[in-house]
Amino acid sequence: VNIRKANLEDLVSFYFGGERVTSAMNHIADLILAKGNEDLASLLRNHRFRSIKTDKERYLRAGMDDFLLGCDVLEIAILTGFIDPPEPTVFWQRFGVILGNKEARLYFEQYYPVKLPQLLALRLQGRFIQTEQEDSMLTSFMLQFLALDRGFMESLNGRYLLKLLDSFRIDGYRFNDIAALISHPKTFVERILLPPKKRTVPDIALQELVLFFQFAESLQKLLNGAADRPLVQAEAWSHYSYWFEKLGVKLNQQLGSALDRFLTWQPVGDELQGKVEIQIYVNQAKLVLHQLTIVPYSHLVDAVLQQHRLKRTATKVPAAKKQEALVKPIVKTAARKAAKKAQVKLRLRH
Amino acid sequence: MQTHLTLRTLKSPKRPDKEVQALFAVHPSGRAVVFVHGFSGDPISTWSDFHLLLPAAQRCAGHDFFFYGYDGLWADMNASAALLRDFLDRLLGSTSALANANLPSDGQRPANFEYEEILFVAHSLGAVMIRRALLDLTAMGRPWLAKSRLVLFAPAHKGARVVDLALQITTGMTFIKQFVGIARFQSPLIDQLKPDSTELRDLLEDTKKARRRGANPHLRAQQVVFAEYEKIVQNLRFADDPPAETIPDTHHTNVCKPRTGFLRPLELVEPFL
Repeated sequence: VNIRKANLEDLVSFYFGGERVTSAMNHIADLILAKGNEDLASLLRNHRFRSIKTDKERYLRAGMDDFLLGCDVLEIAILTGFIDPPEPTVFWQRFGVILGNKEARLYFEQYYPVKLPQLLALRLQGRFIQTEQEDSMLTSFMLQFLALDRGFMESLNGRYLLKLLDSFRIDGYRFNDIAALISHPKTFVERILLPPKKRTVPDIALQELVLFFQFAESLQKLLNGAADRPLVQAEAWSHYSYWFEKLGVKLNQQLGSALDRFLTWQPVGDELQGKVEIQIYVNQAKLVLHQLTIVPYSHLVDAVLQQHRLKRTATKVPAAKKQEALVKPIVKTAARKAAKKAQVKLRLRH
Repeated sequence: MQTHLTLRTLKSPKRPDKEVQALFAVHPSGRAVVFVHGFSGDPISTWSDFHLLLPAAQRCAGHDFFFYGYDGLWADMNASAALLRDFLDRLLGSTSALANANLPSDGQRPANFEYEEILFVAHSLGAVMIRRALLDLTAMGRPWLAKSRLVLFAPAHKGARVVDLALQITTGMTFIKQFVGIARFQSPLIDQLKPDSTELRDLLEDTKKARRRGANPHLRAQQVVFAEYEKIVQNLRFADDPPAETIPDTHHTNVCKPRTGFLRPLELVEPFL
């Protein structure tokens, strides 16, 4: 058995085997080969410049996001020696075509920056070749990481809770509505125990919230176990950096206030033990969230990217400049408005 | 060295396969371990960290591990047991077909591949399910049963307090009962797992009948493990099972969860691997 080849086949099957990601990869690769730059630029545009309107666009962009998440995992797998580094094969060439494309790069480097696809792109260009020395601990780490990520992808990614945490409103519900349900232990439990057919958005989101705390605890444990492999640790954390870095402060606040609601619970009897146990649960969950959102796990990944950015002399993509020029006045106005608002707030406080 | 391929969900659009997680050995030794979770459990988290510790153990380098999944909250117990029976019949009756459908091209097994030894490990409601499935398969005369053995953690075959269990397991919060009191919850399992239920009475009678004159040794558990602070199931002996081992300082849900610093559950399974 060629174990690395088998591992690659497994990763490809799980992360790139879905209909949505396959459609997106095919569509984008076809546009690149047909030199359909305008169509591609339109598909992979920044939604702040022009909103996403059609279902087809949403579908393909979601497929592109799936593709980038898969690229994260391939990068980590290469670093840990779980799969072989990229070779000039048709398989890797396809990745090189997409990750090296100007419009795609704007999408994952500037509009919606994600780090590991950038590292994978550098690998495909032969500009980043680092791998860790393989040992049984590293293999075990990788298997644990993949098991954890499989759970994340199947139970949390793209589902209600994470969308709510990302400021979406679903069926009229916001995250705070879900957090409010925690205030009453009986409501909380009865919603969690509803039969699947009777569950509505808040019931499902509540279940996902419980799962998310369990996931965060497992992730933190896994990352701490890789402390002697800081780059591996940094890459594994970066896979979830949208949640723990980009939305980190907000996530910490929102989930922290949701956790605080557990502390308002009163035991049915006079059981002090219950109060103690719930306090421990809340403290532990907050500590995990704090570490995942505050500890600068990704600094080594950032350093590698920064190093390569410095090497690229004045290589800002022209299209990005154009879009930047368009957006600058909007940003300036927004910044002015925010500053004004802050001043008003300050005045009110004083 | 990597001994097992990545954890995978069996490829199938249908249950139960799509809820079964598998760890296939890179160099198979012809031994399989099938884990069956309990009430409202999860194929992996019920057993965590068995799925990490077992592949790392030298004696398990060639074992295949299956973590069976099913609806352990709302489904009828006997119906779930029948689904488990059908799955085991396929897994152990046409092993290479099922394995190869789920293995990468570089890890395919020979067409005549089959297991020489099979260990079933079940927790809580899973113990009732596996007993019922094995009884049915015994009646169907499946030859591979002679190669199988059984280990049970906190078995519910003498009854269980289902509502308390539902509260704990679905939230992962062991303290929750102290805050909620009586919760509204309806599931067929509440009646089916009452100590005097028809289902549990039948299970005991059928087992005793099948075990007459020492027949069908695969129906006798090799090892039964109790939690010291058990509040969910009745810690009672079933049929001619051996006296149970108790793990100190454990409760119903953590008695089957080995981890670094707490390896007793693993040690109790190890002799049968």
